[in-house]
Amino acid sequence: MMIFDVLRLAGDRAAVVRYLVLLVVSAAVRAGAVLTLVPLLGALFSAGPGAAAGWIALLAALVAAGWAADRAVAAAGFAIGFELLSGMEARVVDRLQRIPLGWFTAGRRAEAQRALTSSGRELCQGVAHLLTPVAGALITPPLIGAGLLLVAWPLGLVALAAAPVLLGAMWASGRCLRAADDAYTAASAEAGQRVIELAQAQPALRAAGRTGVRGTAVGRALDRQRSAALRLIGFSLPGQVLFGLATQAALLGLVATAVVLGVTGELGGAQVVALVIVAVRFAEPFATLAELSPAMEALRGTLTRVRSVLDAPVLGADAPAPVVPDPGAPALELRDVRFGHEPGRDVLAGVSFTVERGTTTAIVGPSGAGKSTLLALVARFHEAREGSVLVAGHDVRRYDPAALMGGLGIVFQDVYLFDASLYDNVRLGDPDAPDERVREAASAARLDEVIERLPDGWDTRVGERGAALSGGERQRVSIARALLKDAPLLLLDEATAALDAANERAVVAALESAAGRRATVVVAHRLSTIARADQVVFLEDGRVAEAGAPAELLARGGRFAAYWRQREQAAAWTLA
Amino acid sequence: MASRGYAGAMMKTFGAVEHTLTVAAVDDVTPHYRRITFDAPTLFDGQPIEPASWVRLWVPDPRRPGREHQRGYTLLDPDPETRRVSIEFLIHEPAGPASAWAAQAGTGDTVQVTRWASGHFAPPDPAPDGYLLVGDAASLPGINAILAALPDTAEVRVHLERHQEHDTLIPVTPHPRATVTWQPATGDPAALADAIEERDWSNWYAWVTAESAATKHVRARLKDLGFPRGDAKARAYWIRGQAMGTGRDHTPGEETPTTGTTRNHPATPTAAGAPAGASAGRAGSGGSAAASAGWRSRAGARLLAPLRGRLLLAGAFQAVVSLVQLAPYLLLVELCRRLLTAGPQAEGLAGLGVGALALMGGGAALAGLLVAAMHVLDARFGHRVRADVVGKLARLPLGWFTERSSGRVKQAVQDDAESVHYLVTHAVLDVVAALVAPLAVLVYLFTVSPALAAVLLAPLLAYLVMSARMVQASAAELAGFTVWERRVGAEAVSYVDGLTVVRAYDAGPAGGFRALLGERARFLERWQRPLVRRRTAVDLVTRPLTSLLLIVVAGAPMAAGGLLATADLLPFLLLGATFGSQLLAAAFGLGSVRDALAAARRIGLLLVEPELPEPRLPRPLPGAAGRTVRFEGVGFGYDARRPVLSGVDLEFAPGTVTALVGPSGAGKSTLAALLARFHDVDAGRITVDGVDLRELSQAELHRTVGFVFQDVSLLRASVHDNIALARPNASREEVERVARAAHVHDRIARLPDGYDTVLGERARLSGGEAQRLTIARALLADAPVLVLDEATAFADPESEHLVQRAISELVAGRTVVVIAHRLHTITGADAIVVLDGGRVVQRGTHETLLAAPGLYRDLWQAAAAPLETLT
Ligand SMILES: Cc1cc2nc3c(=O)[nH]c(=O)nc-3n(C[C@H](O)[C@H](O)[C@H](O)COP(=O)(O)OP(=O)(O)OC[C@H]3O[C@@H](n4cnc5c(N)ncnc54)[C@H](O)[C@@H]3O)c2cc1C
Repeated sequence: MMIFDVLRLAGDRAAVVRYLVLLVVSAAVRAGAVLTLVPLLGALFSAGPGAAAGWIALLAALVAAGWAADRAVAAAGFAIGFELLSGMEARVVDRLQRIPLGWFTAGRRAEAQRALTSSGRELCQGVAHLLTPVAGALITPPLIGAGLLLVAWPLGLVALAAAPVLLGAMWASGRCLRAADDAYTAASAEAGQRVIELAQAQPALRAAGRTGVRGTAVGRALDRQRSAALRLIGFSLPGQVLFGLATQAALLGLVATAVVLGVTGELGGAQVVALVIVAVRFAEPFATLAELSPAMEALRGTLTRVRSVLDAPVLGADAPAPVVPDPGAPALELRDVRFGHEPGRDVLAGVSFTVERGTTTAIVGPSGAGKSTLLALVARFHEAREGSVLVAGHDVRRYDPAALMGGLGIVFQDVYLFDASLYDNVRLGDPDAPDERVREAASAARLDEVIERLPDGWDTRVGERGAALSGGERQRVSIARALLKDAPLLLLDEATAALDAANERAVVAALESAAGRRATVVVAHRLSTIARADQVVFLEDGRVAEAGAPAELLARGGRFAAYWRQREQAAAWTLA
Repeated sequence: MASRGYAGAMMKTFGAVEHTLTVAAVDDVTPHYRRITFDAPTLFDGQPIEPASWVRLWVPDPRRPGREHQRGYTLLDPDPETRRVSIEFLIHEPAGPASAWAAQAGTGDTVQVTRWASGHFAPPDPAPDGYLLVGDAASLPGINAILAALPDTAEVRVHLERHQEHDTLIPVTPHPRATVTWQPATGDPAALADAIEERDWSNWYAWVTAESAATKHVRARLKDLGFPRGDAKARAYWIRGQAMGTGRDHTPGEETPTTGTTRNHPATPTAAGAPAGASAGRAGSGGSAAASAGWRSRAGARLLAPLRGRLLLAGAFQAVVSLVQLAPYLLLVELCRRLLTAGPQAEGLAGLGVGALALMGGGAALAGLLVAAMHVLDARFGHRVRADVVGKLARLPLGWFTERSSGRVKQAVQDDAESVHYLVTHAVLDVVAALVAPLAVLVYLFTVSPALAAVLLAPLLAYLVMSARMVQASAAELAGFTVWERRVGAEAVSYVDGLTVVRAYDAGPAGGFRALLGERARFLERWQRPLVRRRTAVDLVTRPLTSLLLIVVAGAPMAAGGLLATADLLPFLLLGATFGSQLLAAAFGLGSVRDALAAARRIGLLLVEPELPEPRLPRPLPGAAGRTVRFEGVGFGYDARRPVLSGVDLEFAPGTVTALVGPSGAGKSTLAALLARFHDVDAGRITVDGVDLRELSQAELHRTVGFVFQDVSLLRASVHDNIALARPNASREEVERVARAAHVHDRIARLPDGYDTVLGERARLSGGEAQRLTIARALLADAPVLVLDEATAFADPESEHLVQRAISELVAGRTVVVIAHRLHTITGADAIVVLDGGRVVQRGTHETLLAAPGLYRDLWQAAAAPLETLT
């Protein structure tokens, strides 16, 4: 039951129990008020208003009691809601910090973002404005049915039987409508995708004179979309008609039962009328449920999003007591590491090598060889499936995640900047560093000339995802950040052509200036970088094809040498 | 508290919040125009103060102490820092309470204002072609604020009527493209309207805030000139010879009615003397509503036009269905009546049951029929809209297809099309059903007993008042809420996308983000907590049981007193308890109708984007092998005032490679794009073998000019189809031949189904591989003129040598124009054209250019980086 799923998210057990108890009390009072109508109307219609006065007073008392109960329920619901409101998003953040990055597909990323922006509010509103009326509408009819058993048991039986039927009809209606919506969305997305492709391929299609809908892939997709839309009738029709029909049928059944009880002489006319009116009241909550069901769907969506994050796997610390780096051990060691993003397709199929302290290792190889994945494993963005990654003598899994990160400097290809000032973005590397060091790091990364050029200098806001800066400039920010952090192991993914030659030399010099203290693992594209490395690891198809000093490998005349020659040729290529 | 009459009481009831303003400074701008600056300590806590935001000012009645009048005034120059705001008062003759107050106001005086149900200027989206601002001295404060807010590029006309001699002294905010005209008030209320010239006002936006009668005339005039309703905002700011805040017009600036010929309007005594024929002549010449056909803002209405009639019909049908579905309840009432009068043994009870059953079946059948019909209608309409979009895409200039516009296409064919689908299949029917059933019940109940029915309206009224008050009470938070949502939304995106960085640098924004979330949660809680009780109260008021109690409590005495037959309580008991909540549900349905209309507008706007003109009689190219391309005095800019290229004269000869060189922003890419007619030139012309590009048919143009750019677009189709895109009839041999030439055949052979592999989810190509596939495509298309982005060759460092070889293969024997980023790759080009600031500054070969000082040599030296090699 979704109601319980939502409530389970709330931490405060006592509040939840209180809320549930109050819900039942309020529903009981409401059922009581409805049942009071039987004697009330019976008296009113057979003996006149005067005779009903006592019952009217009782009804008034019950309605008032219902208000009081409902207020208490609302207060209890809001209490839970506010707890979710203030706590939910923080819990999501906590979880996100510890989920392996491989878990984030594009879809999950979007879900996580939505969970972060609105889950608290939506859950809060959900409990307060949705769960309360829905639960009330679910509990009340059976209580009325049970009460009717005492007044006129056949009617009570019919009512108790009608409740599940109506719920079933409502459920089926909802399913049908949802199925129709899903089918429509899928067909529409497919057609949309085709139209967007068409927009992208305009030049070629125009050359072929194939831009219309007749006989083209787009045309076919649109036709499919049209027939899919027509097929929806099959779902929509029952979806939109079924529940209404069921409600009316149930009502008719109840009324017929009441009338039959009258005809057989068990009840008087006034009583039958009273029961007919109660029957109408009995059916009412179902209409409320039907009205709220789209909102319930939305809440279900929220719940799923939150759950998918909160239930996602996390990177656990293996050791009971997290380890500290061993100053004597090599900076990095990979032992037969295997890893794949999907089962059965390993990107890394048994990689082993060692990076000594203070040395530079260049990872080289054709695209798709698993170079970037390898760096991600070291930073523990993913977990190796087999084998182990040792940083400063210990498996990364045995570190406290924060401690591991503390020892790594990272400059990856997709440079990410926050929409804050340039200064803040560099400062991330070491929030406690004095201004002076921030400036030093910036000038070593050649960021200073960028800052000079910008009207707001250090205070320039970099825009969403750093959009205000060029690719090369973003790269420099990220390098400055890593330089400021000054960690003992630097992971560097050389971005393609992001820096021009002159700046590149300066930046390389800056990165190298700490060599001896710092070990560097670089996914290298530039020949100059490769040439300067102490060790080259040539990856191919997820395996280390060759490893050794660059000159040595070149002399060996193997895969690396062939690669090198190709790159040299490419660098000297001229068009025409 | 001063007496504020009925209007004041109403506003209080609906939760108007009052602010006290204290005069801080008084400045007489002209002899009868006074600027008063106020300290407004509380005003800034509410909704933001936009341009031309106005307030209702409570001013004392000079003649009747204790009584206050309400007048509208415009807020100027709000400064949240100092919490000060200004108002400019026209001191007019005859004076009224407001101008009299302003005339004698001094520092320290206070006045109360409320922003309850006030408005402001909201720039329309999409931006109109121009703004027409009409008013007089009293509306000048607002117009000035608008002028200050309008972009410099917008064309603006300001028409002002001068009622007093010194009006023209009042400063008007300068705007580079505004023309301001003052015209004397002649006493003819139509004079202002008549001054608006007859012309094509398509896509203009009008803001009319003049004297009441003048405003009505202008409104009618604009309607004649074709302004759609939403593009002409008119509001009377004062009434000649009448106080603004008394009599019927007790709230300032009631929107004037739009319909009817204003000439005969009784409210304008001066109009009687005006020549009678004038307005008839105007209405005839304006072209009336047909003139608005070309307005962008009508795009949505135009899109939905073919549906309108059917939707109305469907709505009417749904109304009938709703009534039929209601009928069983009436039978139920009848049943109960008979039971009461004749007891359970009454006659015809079974008949009633059968009748009810039949009605139920009939209602369901009709409803089902309607649903099915709407789906058919929707499927056809949806198909037509999408096909229209596809057709449109083929006629748009290629330059239109930027990333942003692709987003618009996506939005139009997916989300927006879905909204319209929802409108057709659900929303209209839902809204009609939600309105018709409760209204019919209400009418019925009124016929049974007006008094008791009126009692039932009480909870509904209470609901309205209470929720209006709640909205008022949270006006400030509502504004804050949108700000928070935007901020948290943006931060959440960057947090999740930047998770690598967040983890690598633990604290930082992660900590910040957490704090932000906490702050937002506290904001929401601070806002919502005090509302909890009210919200609950609103809920309880609309409960069916509450209504039921009301019916019994009010109905029983009525019945006892003989005002009502006891049996007449039946319809109330059976139908009267829920109609209120049903009525409220209709409001939600209207929300999705609004969404759908907005969606239809976006689709419509896409369909009216300016198209690339196709030549009526395309000229064929002379039958030759090589093509010569010539730029003759070409000028071009993305917007009129900032040319990107000017005075470009160039010739590209067959079989030669010409490289375009220059610093970024010099116009290289734009020049190349013009050659493929991504846009049309603003000046000069581009010819292929002497034929203007604009005279070629699209198909011929694209067969002649091909291009390979950095961003590749592969379709989700087989490799074969992707390569054969421009020549769908190509044989497998031909496709294989070009794939080999482009050095991608081996890779294709390794795909699961070879050339029949469908690209997409399962078969992914690396950047360099995709690049080579597009080169193969270009090879097969075999266009004699080729535009190339040299960066393409370096898209994927690991396979750049293969891409390079493919390119070398491609350029052989064509007229090639290459956008060069790395100079050393084009040293061998037949010609190098150096661009700077949109002009050709140098041309020659690598050797000649290097020999002389100039931009090329500077660029070369800056880039010269020795190739570092091993050994
Ligand atoms: C939304 C809105 C914003 C406004 N903003 C401003 C503003 O920023 N500054 C400003 O000065 N006015 C503004 N006005 C106009 C102002 O509210 C009216 O002029 C108002 O009638 C003045 O009130 P009063 O008490 O002085 O005169 P009233 O009691 O309304 O009228 C008394 C007499 O004065 C005449 N009269 C009223 N206004 C004028 C006038 N403008 N010219 C000539 N005779 C007049 C009437 O015909 C009447 O005979 C605004 C009006 C609205 C609706």
